[in-house]
Amino acid sequence: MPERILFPEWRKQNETTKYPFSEKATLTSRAGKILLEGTFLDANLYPIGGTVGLYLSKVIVTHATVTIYVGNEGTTELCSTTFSILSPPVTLILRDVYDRPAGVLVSAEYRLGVFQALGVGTHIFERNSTEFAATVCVPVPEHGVRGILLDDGTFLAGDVWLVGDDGVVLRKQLITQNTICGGGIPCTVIRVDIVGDPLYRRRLCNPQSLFTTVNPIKTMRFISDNMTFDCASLDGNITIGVNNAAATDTILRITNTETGLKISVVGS
Amino acid sequence: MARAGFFDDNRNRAYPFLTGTVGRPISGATTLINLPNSAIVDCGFTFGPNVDFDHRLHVVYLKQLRRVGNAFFFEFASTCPALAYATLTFTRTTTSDAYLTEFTDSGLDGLSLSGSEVDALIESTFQSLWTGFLVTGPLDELTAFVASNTTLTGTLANCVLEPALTRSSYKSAVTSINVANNDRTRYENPDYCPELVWPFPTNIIFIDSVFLRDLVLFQPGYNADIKQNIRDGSITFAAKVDAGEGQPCEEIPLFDTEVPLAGISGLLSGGPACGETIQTINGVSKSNFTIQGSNGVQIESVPEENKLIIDINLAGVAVVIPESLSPA
Repeated sequence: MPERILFPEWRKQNETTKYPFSEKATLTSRAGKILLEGTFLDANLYPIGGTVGLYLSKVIVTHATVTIYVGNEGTTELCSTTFSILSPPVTLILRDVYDRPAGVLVSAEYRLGVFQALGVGTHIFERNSTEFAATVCVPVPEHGVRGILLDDGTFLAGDVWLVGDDGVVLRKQLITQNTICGGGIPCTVIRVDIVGDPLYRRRLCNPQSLFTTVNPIKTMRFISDNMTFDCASLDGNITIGVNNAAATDTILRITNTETGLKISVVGS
Repeated sequence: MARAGFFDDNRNRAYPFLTGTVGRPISGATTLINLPNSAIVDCGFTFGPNVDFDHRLHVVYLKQLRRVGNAFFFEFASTCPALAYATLTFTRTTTSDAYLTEFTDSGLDGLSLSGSEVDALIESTFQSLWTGFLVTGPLDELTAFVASNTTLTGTLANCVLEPALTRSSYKSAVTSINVANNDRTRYENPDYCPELVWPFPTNIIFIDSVFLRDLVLFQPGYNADIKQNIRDGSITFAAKVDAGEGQPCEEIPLFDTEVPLAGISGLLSGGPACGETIQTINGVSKSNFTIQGSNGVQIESVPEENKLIIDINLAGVAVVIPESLSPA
């Protein structure tokens, strides 16, 4: 009389079923390659934007690695995982294009060797052949602001810091936003002021010692015989003129040159 | 896995724990590895968007089981560093119904931050580090297994959860916007001058506001141009003279207590204002200004005293003295 285990362990129970794929999945690629039952023993899929009908959409096999894509009919590559054929892990971690966690596929090292049998190349699967069971799929609609993407591809999420720098000043303000129904709703506003940083060239010098501190002329002191007087400018200009009230004419001349002043007397 | 008999099956196997990490016969001291399979029949956990739970490195496990009188406390923990001080505790009594389901989250208890200001901040902005649910089976076997006022513990290899029962939502959302400003470039005296002393810390990041959530708008201020493209969801910030609120008439403080350096200038950076320096002489503007002596004039410089001596000595000039001024 054959022996029957009444309550097999979870993974053991799934070895001989299509789980985590749905019961109606054929597990056959577009080219007729077959994915064996028991390749995966469990799964939990939650890619952002994945709502209905998640399925294993593509497998890329190279001589060294296997990449598995999971998506839906709208986006066939919602997330993926890559593992080494020579040393496959037990749990495959799926991530989306922004490196966000998107789920796990539970298997065993020796079970993942089946992908070698598919052969090197790209293997496409249709939804009806590799759709996952609904119980392993968590619908994650794309609600709200999920991330901030910069021009250089940097992806920011979680607690994001906006820091004003090099003449940009950021401030929080509270305003009341009028609605079309009348009344207003309180809103948080981040005000962006671009006012410059007058000494920014000093900041750009790295190391700091490369920058020579500017020491501008702020006062000119004129000394003549026993007289001393300081001239500081309010508008930035100093005028040195020839003026002798006691003389009807003067031979002293001060003329502008391209780079400064020339002081001379007329005559020969 | 919602199907008839699922919980019944799990009463008789390790699930939701990994096979071999629970339900072993007692041999020696009783630990969590001896926990009866029937005690826990299902559970699941979701980690918050700021918790970097990595399935390759981290696990969830039953850390402790306490019995106080007729009450059981199931305390779950994770090896994820972000959850080092955040455990999830579920409560049952010896008379709880079979397949009772309970949801809980890490709550404030799990956070290690302290201080009244921080607490107030957390209360107003709190987000759970992780949440979870637990379904327990019939507890008669557990009641016999754990004596009253007993605490059972194990190792990281005991009662380890199946990885597919955890869900990481790391980086799945922008949870808050925080605003700060880097310090402006501060004026520094030349090496041979006394060092400037500011009445507040400088060269630090000044925090303006934290944990902005819900509806956040951007407003173009001085010289700022902000454009939103609803097609691709992009926001472009550009500097443009006179855009937004136009040009400011005053310097914009970075933070409320920022004041100019006393006795130096009225500028927040501490440097001299434009009108405080001599920029032109007789309208000529050169960084290296030349004063040139010519016919009858000699210029002598004394650099160490920052001095120029302008000597109008008429040297080389033929001087004609009128008769009226000639000596008799």
